[in-house]
Amino acid sequence: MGNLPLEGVRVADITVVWAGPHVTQLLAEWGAEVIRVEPRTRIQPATRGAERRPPTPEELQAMAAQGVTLAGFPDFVGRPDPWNRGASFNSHGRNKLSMTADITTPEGREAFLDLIEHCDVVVENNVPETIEKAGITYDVLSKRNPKLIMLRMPGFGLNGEYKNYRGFGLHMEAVIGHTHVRSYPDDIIEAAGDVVTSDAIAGIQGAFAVSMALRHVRKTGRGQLLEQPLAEAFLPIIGEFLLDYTANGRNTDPQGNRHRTHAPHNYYPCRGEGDYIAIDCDSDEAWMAICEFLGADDLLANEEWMTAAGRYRDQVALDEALGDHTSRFDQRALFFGLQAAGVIAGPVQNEAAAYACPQLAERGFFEETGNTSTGTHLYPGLNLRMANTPNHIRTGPPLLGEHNEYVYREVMGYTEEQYRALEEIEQIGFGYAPGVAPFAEE
Amino acid sequence: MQALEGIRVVDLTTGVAGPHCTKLLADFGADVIKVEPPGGDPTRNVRPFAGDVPHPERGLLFLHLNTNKRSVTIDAETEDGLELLLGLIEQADVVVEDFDPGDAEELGFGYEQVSANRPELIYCSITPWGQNGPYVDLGFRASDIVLQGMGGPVAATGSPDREPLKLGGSLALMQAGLVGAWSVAMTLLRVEADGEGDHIDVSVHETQMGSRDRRTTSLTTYAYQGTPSSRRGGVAGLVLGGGAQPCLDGYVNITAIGPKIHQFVEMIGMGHLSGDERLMQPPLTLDPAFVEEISTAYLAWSMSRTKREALIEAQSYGMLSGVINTPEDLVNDPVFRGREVFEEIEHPVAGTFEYPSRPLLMGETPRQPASRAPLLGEHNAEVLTELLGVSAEDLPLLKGVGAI
Repeated sequence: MGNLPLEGVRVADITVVWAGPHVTQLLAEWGAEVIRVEPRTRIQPATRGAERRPPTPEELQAMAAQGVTLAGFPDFVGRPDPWNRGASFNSHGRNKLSMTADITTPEGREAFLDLIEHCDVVVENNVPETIEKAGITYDVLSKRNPKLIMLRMPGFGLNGEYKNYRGFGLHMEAVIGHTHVRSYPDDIIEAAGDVVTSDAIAGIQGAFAVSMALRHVRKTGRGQLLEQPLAEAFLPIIGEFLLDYTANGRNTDPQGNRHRTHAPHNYYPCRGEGDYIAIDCDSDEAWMAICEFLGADDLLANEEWMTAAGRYRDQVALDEALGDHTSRFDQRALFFGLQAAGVIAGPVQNEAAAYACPQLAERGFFEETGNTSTGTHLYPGLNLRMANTPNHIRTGPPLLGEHNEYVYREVMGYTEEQYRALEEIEQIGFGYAPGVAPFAEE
Repeated sequence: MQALEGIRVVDLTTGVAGPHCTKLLADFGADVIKVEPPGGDPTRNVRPFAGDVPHPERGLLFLHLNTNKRSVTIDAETEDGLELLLGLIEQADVVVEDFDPGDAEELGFGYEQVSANRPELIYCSITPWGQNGPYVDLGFRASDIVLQGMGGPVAATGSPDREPLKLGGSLALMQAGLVGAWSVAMTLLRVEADGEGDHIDVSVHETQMGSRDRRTTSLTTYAYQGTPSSRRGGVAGLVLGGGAQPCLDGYVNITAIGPKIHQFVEMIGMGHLSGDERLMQPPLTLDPAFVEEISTAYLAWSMSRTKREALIEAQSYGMLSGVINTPEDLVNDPVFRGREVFEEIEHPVAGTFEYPSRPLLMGETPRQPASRAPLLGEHNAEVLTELLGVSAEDLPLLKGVGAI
């Protein structure tokens, strides 16, 4: 039975929004002690989800009715402490600790520098000028701790014209071409909606980079600066389209759900309202199996469609004809029936279906955790397993400032006097300082 | 030194997920030996091809995913081939494989078999559903579009008026490969500290379910409120004016989140609304006429600017924003070129062109220029001689019996 591989590693976390917090989520899951350093004297936009008044229960219900679920609260209730209750923060917060210090103030900065001396890693994903203005760039931090690894995740890099350009994941992937290539081939680009896949990629990539740098420290005693721009970390993920341009001069058109050679290859409507099934036909045999399962004699009768090339050429008409058949079937019947016939197929699962998914249930994917503000719920669990190292969510998402005593006193060795002094100027405290989040008292 | 210098990886994978995992390990300095079945990794024959000429050494996806590796061809189903493979695994710190659960055991190189005397071995399995569970027992098949649909945020991607939309390329498989590389790198820390390896079990399905592209947040919201996500709202549903916005020569996407909305209305010439309380309401709860008024002004603003002009102006207001580029726009962007995110690589068959070079910069362990993807079996003699001491005379013999 192994220890968690990152046990003994301490991480200072000054990340915001999603990509940076995803890195520290992954590090914490596998044993690192992650300490979020959070201001209580100002609200970080889109991070603890309370940059303005929290939505009322009525507003949340109205949003949910439209499928907007990126700002959810337990039982639709944000108050009185939305910063401890939001799904956006709480979906990555587990296993982390929270201390309060505002790195943009002299006293908060000093506390942060003291903390750095006790850390192996610091992770940040702010706009570069924020870190520069705060005076906590790598050259400053590495003087306090030469073994420190600093992972910086700006949008576009620490130099160049775009250095201080602000953006979410959705803007990064627009710039690197993902929005274009994933759009519907036959629709306006607006129809593609916004995704933030680069946050997902950057999070894992960052955890990979930190792990490699930890190996280097152990071998050489030297820390380092890791510069991982969101846009650049995502760019190789769609590398084949970029190569098609550099090698062939082809500017790839929007691909939507199309495959490079397979057809049919799409999401097809099922009988249930809003249900879809993915079908990926990878051979002529699979095509016949699909038609036979559906009893689709009209599709079988089309000789053009008996070959992969013919199906690919004619995929628009074929998709429509196939959809007419699938829409007469129940999603689950299609899934199990097509799979039994050897066809690659699977249901499009929303969150309700995900929580009911038998594969995830048997693997124990969802795990119960929570905090004193939210109570307990079933959260999405770990995205990888190790056979000899059973692992689970250990603690729920931290309340703002919950671990001040532990971090300042035990980790940093602050005296009672130092601690009280920082309390007096509202650096240390539980929740936001008075007046910062007026909606809490409304 | 390079970050993963001194690590040897035996790569038994084909397709996208496994090769992406080992590409990342190879690109950061590991010695990756790609063991290909005699016909080669099928991805060698996947479109598009360099020069549009179908050829196993010209597949662009393959060339991209296999930089910095060495290729040996071994038929593990022959007795001699299995012996060679087990010999290679004995010399390896890491094995990455993507066989259906149980198949590697049957062939003689499952985790239990090859780690029995080597607890320090890292054995990383990347499969659609993981190593167990009902869908594994039923032998269900999967591919990127299926795994995105079942695990990822597909139900909430695209237009509410038509079928949902997957993410680009082979996103789910690429992401799972990245999870694999990360899991190997962190397990190496433990191996090098106390000699304890592991059997890593990456399920592509679960890497999507645990993905930070909206999925974990939407799942948590569902646990909190019982409300699923849909294609109606999305990220743009959170802000006024969100989503792709047409300009003179393309599209820009501006997200005026939180208090930024007051600067946004100023920017689009509606300054009289700045400070208006209604702007802080969730857009979906606003009077449609009010939303329409802002949309009309926004359209007039954006349609009198190029996408670049719109971007520069939005950024000057501190607004989160980006232009929507095509691959051509990106590759020719002087800022990206200035940061050297592409590198030219020569290949004797495919030719010379630029590849995406690196996902990040490491200050102390700079990545070295990439070497091209290997030709099929290019390193048979080199690897078997160097690692297994196979003599030059024996090589034709092994070929003769179909082992390599």
